[in-house]
Amino acid sequence: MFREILRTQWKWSTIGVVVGAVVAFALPLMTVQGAGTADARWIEVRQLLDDQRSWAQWYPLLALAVGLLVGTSAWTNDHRVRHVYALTLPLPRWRFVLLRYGAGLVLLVAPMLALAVGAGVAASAATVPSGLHAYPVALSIRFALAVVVAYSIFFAISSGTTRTAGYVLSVVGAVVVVQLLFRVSGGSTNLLTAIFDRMVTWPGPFEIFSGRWMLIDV
Amino acid sequence: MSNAIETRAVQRRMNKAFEIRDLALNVPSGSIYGFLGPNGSGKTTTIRLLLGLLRSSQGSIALLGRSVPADMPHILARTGFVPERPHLYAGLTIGEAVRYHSAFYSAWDAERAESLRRQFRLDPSQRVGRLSKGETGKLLVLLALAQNPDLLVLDEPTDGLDPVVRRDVLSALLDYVSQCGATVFISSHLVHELERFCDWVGVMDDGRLVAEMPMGTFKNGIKRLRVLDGPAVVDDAPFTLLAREPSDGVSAGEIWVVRDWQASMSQYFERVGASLREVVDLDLEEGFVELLRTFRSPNA
Amino acid sequence: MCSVRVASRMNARLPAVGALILVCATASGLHAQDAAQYRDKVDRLAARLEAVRAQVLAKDSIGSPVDTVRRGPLRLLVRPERQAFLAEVADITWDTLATMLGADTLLILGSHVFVHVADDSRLRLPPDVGQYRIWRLGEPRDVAADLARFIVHTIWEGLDATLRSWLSNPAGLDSLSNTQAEAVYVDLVTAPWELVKACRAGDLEACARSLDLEVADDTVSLWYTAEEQRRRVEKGGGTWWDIYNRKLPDYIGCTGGDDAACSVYLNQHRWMIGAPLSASARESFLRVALEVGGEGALGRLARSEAPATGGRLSAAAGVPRDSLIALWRDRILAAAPAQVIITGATGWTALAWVLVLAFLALRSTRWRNP
Repeated sequence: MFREILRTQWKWSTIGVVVGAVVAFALPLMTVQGAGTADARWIEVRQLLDDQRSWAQWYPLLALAVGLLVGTSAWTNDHRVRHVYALTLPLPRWRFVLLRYGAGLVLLVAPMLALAVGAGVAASAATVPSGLHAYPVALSIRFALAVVVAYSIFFAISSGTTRTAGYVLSVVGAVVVVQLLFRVSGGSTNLLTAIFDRMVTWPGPFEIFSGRWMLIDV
Repeated sequence: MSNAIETRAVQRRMNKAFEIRDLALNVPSGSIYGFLGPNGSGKTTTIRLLLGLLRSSQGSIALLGRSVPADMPHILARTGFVPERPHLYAGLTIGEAVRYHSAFYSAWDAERAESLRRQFRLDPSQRVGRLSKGETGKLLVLLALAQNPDLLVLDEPTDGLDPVVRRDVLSALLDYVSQCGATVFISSHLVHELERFCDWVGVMDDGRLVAEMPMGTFKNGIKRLRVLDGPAVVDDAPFTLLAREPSDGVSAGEIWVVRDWQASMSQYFERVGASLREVVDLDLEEGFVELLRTFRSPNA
Repeated sequence: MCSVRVASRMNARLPAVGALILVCATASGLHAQDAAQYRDKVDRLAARLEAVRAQVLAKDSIGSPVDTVRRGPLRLLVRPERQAFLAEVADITWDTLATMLGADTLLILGSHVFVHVADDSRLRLPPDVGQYRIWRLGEPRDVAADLARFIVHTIWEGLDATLRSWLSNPAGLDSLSNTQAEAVYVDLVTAPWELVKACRAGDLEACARSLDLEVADDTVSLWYTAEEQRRRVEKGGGTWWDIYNRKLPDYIGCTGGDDAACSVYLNQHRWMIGAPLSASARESFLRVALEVGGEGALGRLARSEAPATGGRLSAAAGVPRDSLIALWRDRILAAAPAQVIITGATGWTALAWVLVLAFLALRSTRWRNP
């Protein structure tokens, strides 16, 4: 049963998983292109760290994109047939959802492993300047967690009904409207920023995305 | 005789204009139950209620002796379902769809699946989304039959199919029923199609079950009579008068459409001073139309 | 003494111009005098200059009534209707500068800073009045920030050449930010030189040398080991000069293993080599010194006559040099960037969110009104 669900989900998410895995493998290699000699001057070290920083933003974006693609594609085909097929299969709803969720997690192993391998190769191939260190394992773990969090978010939203999606959108819309009212009334409170901050700082769900995504760092 | 499907006082409001009211279905085990009704009468809604796709606001539903929706996994493991609109994943090939479906059913009959695939001439490499309506219908029936169900719920399975495909599908169904003795609950608005093989019939109209009876009773009980000098008021007749119309002008007298007719009831006309000139058997479709006409008349 | 007569609008400019010339002429003749005399002179001249300007402003040479907003060394010449706005500007600016400048304001700046609004056509000022013009009246905070920048720039212009050369670029007076400190931390832990490594390990003398706080004839040898010097020579500057220089005997000697030749070569080519720690690190040290010194720190820096930069910054901070270095080092090490390695809290929180979201997904209803 799980194998068949996995097979269908692979069929639906092939592009997301394959492209995600290729990019995940290539990204660490791209980031170390500027890595020079062991006794690099401070300006070269700074340049390398700046390069790392500018590449770093792509890791969480990639994690989000892969999570989004695999999370939503798990349900797209069921949405098309209004879940009739899934609901007439002889297993409890929660078990079906669990199987789908698990299948998605298995598929996500590909980009996670690709990044781990890419980071490992990049770290061993690059000459890391004195005082800096390569963190392929930490980066891989961070990426894996971010992918799983992103996947879980989009999977949970996609598994909901149209009404659930409506509630989520209503809440977002209400926040925006309240913010506009604040602004119109001359208030200085920035609700959107406050909520965003809460989301990306501990213990918010997106905290894992806001960390330090450096393959090479001090 | 136990019932494969049994509902009691089921209610479900779909919108302001339509609701299922006091639905009391009794589908005997082993029967082929034709579920008739015009478009929009509530057949598909009833099937969704039976399969736990919709939640009833009131009443109880039991399939194969188990309660809906509490025991849905057990019920669905023994129930084959062919929906009105295809519900399979369009991106899969026929082979993949069969393999996927089979994984969920412990009683899956791979031989029957393969035999039906050959019989229906379905190419396993073809995508489900690119199948014609007839091919889709055949695939759905294949999937439903290969899972060895005790109950088949078919929602307009032959609607829109050409006569050849329709014959193939229905013969496959009947073969299965004759071999396995499963109960079939088949909805359709094509009355003459059900007439040939259903042994029970239920008629829906406007969200209500208008009639439910053995096919024989339904077919034989509704007659068209030609009556001369009929009484102005019919109040003590042993049958139910469904309709009374002037004759077509060629023959004299009136045309009465009656229900629950038996031959001995002809004495009634002698008693009231009328003359019964002709008794005509109505086929299922004519009976169905007359039944609905009566049900919808203001005096019903 | 000079007397000032103001009779007309044209004449009104003359005394101020004269006073400025007097200040310049007198100041240029002060080299031989001692510091105390110098300060007295500057104070007297500044007071005189302000008196002259006040006289000018008090006369009818000004096209419309003018008020003067006074905050520390700031003199803002304003039309009455703009007084509230510019008073706020002055408050903000002075709040920013007051702590650092303190009582030594006039000594550091040399005179008051006269400010007026450029587009004020009704305010016809003598050309020398108004060293700073406000070009656009936007938010008071923005105007104040520009004004503060101007004043800081003026201060750096007034510092002596040694300090200016040590610092490379004018620094602000605000405290060392975490971002700046983090950048210096990167320098500290990535610089491949033995001296910096020793500094990082806690050798304060090494820190002093790395920051170029000491006076020495052969700074190259003070900063780099023989092997490091050779590496620098071999690496070169990457210009066509390097190709030319490779023919020089010292270059050949250095790359051939002669340590002394390396030192000679690098001292002859100082443009190739700087102190082991960057200018940003030196700026961070200055900021820490001013921060530690508090009120009047900049004044003490300007007045200090210590030969080495370390001594002058120590005077500004009001603490011994090594203590200041230790404070700076602690501050920089404390600014280490967040770990790349995921903390337990982050990891477990992420997993907890995954469980919560999976639980929510499992509650996906079968009642979907298909």
